[in-house]
Amino acid sequence: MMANFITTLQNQVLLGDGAMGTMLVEQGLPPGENPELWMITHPQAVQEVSRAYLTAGSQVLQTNTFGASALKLGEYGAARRVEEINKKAAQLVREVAQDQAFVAGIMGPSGQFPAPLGTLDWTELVEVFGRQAQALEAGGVDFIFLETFSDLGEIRAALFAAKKYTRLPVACSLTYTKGRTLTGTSPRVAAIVLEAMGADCIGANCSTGAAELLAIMEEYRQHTGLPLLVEPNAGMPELINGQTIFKETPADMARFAEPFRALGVNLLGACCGSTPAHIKAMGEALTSRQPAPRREQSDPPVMRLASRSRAVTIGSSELPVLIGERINPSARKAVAAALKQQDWDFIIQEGASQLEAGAQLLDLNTGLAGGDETRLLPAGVQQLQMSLDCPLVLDCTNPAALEKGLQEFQGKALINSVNGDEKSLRAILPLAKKYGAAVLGLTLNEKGIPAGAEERLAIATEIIATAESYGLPREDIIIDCLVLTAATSPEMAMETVRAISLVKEHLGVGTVLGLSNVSHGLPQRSWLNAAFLSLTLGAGLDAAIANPLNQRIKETMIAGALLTGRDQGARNYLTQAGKTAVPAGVPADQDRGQVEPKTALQRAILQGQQEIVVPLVQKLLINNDVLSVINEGIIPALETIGGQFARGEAYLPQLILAGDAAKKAFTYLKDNFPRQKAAQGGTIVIGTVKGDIHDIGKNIVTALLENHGFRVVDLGKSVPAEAFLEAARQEKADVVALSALMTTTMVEMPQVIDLLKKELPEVKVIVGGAVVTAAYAREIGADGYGADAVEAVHLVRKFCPEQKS
Amino acid sequence: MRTKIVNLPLLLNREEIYPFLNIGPISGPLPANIHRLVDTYVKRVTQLARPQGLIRVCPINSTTRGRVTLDDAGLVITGAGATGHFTDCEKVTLLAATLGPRIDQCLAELQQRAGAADAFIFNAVAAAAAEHTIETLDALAVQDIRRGAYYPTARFSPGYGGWPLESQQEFVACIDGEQIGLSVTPHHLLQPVKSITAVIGWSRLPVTRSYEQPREKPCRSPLTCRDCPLKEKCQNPMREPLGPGSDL
Repeated sequence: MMANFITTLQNQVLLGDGAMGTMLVEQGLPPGENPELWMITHPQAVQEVSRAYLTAGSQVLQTNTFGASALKLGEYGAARRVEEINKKAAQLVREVAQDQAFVAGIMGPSGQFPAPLGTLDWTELVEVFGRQAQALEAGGVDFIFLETFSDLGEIRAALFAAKKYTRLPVACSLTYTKGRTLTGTSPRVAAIVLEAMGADCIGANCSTGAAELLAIMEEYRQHTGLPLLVEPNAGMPELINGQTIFKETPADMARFAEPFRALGVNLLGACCGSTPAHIKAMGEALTSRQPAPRREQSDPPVMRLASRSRAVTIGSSELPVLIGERINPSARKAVAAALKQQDWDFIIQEGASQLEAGAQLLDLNTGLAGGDETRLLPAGVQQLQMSLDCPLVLDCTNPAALEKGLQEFQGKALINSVNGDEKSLRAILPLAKKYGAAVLGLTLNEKGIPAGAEERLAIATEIIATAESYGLPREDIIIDCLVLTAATSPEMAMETVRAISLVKEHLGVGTVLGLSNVSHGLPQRSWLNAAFLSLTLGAGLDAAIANPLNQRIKETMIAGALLTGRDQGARNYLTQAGKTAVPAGVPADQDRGQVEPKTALQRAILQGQQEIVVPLVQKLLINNDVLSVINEGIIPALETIGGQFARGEAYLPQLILAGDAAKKAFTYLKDNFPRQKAAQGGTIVIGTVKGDIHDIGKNIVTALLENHGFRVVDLGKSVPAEAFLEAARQEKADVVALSALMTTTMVEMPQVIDLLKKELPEVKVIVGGAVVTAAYAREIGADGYGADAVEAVHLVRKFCPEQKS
Repeated sequence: MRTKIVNLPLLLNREEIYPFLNIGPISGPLPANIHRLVDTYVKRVTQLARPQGLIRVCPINSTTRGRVTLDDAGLVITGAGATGHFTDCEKVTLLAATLGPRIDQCLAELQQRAGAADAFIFNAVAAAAAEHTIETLDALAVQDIRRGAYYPTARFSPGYGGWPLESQQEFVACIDGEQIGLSVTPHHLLQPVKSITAVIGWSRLPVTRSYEQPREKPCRSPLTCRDCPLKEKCQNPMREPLGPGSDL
């Protein structure tokens, strides 16, 4: 075996190889044939590809095993041949590479998803990847290369399997589109999670070409100290003169070699569509094989947690973090009942409301009396991570349940908790290391919670030392100095504050506090919780487990962050205070100061400000009659917005919002001045024709007609022809309006029109809807066609010229 | 039958929603009141939706003009516009995606209780979410197609390219739509309403997927402008030129 792959990679930029599939096609792989099975009968063809890359300068050669997992081979009825195929593939490349190049044992996605996205469970997936990794190791590869994964959950399982079943280094590569993997993972999140899980090298391959991968690699560089790899594809293929052509030429790809090296890339190769010529050009373009210097570790250390799609950091230089405490059956009966009935919708809602209120992490406690935590915790993890995108705090001290929960969580979780008792440390810390989680350490031990701050510091020191001995980095430990209830020990509260200061000063790790204990058994708990939060933030607290729905807690957190110098430029404070809540550039509502009341009403309607419309109408009514409020206040605004919309100067939602605001004004007038009837423009019967269940467009037309003072009888959706006739007759309609969205349902329209023309020839019929055109309207004998809601109003006006005030 | 079921994450961004808000060529940021409503309903839709998808790969049995039959599946793809895309294909991937019934329920409630603007914006966000879901499913299917050294064709659905909507019933049966709660109304519409079915061909030869070129065709429809049933009404100034032979 050659020198250690990772050591070499750290000191030298290595040139990888390029595409395998397209090269095998050139070697004669027939269409539709499985490349891994074909290899067994055509070993020389595969070796030919490897040899060509070696000659081109590749220092890392890949095995032809991308689809050689039991699940993929199973699609060809060859699941039992995993060992044979992978071992053989590794041996074939090793024969070519000798000691001239490293051999990468390639493993691709299984084609299935781990739960909750798919149906495979963790154990099954780990076994599938483990089997393949073992066979590759037996064949003599230098490292396992997980390639083209698009789901963090799956690559996490593959990495775990490769680490568990082999002694080889593991490189992890994801594929990205528009900066994210298919299931929403950014390079930053991938770096946090895969680094914690023990990856030796990380990066990206395939994706949409080299240019896009520059930004991806830049993000990786900012968030990891691990060696980086990149293997872009040669653009999207095109058919030119009957030949499949990949757009990026060797010279095109070579232009990116140096920029990638400058970003700190250690392994540079290529993917789909590339050839040995691409690799040769890339190698020649490198001006040096010296890797670019990488980032320094942050000081003070910052804890990084992540879900599949979101990262959260905790540390002295960051905003303090609020951890939602409400999913806890021992503290809340409703949660206990929901867990008992497995009412996960309730639990998800509990999570969602806490996130909405400002929590960044959710504490998940499923320790239900009489419940099976080994089942409830993983189920809870699955449910929450499917619907919510925050990292989770697994609040559990049962190692068996915790292990299952950690397997399911497709990110980097925080374990709540260990304590100074050796038994607790021994049971929990190995799990944290194995599954790449961070740990919350409580400053208590088998003797209980020590009274003094110094003793608590001693326990924290012990926890950190033990965690480090298990291989956990210091930044992955956060200390809870614990608070007792002020009901029994009010004098102890300040001891906790002192302990936080000591831990921050002497150990430099993050601190967290289960805040609500301080008020246990006392009334007005939020007074105490908020006051204590304030004191502890002053001592350097980095995160609080608390109730984010409590406004006082939330406000204290925001204000405390500013006052303790963690909120640069008061940016968070101002945003939370609503001063910059609307993104820059969004026009603020106009000043309504000294404006003439009719203009103010028009402006309010134009801006869709429903809440101020009625007061403005009331103000106007002091000096004006109802009709002039309508004709000079409401209608001109509707005309203006309708005109703006027709000219493409306003958006449809603005038109509808203005309509809603006008409706408020009309409703007020109608309710309060029933005798002074508002202008009635005529009666319209409207509905979506039989078979069509899409009624959003019809509802917009209804709203707009009502806002223009017409009486609208809305028959709803999927209305039969006879119902239109009956309503038109009963309601003495002036106009019947028909709507249809689909080509299959608009054919109902002529039937309604025929019936109406026969029975009620004086009634006008207008039509509209997504697929309906003016030509179609003419063809079926409609009296008019409205391309949009504003046109519909104009048409109706035309057909109801006499105002019946 | 080898139908794969997937739960899909919903990671909507604002830009995906704008086309469904019927926001045309006006430049500049959204007015604050619309911005707020969009925010509210993105949260609501994200909470209520349970995006799920089904994927089934079927070998093509025979391709004749206007008719593609599949192995082991009752579904027949018809219509000149649709079948033309599968000429060089050996297989197809059938897809079905839904946001689940709670979106429909919420929309019905909003229509009853809230204003038209609320219902319109909720509907637009939900439509964007459904599109996002089928796009994710599409990307999953395409990965498999490309890995097999085939090229994915454009995505086609019953109701387009001359493939009658009446096929929806057999499509849903063929992909075992019940697994994700899909059904078809007597008028061939999918229920829940925010659901999509589609088919992608596995072509031996490279083909252009028109919707991979958003600059030329900024709407989210998977169809080329020529195949789009809304082409006559499309107000989008960036619409693809229809070229000679256009019936416009």
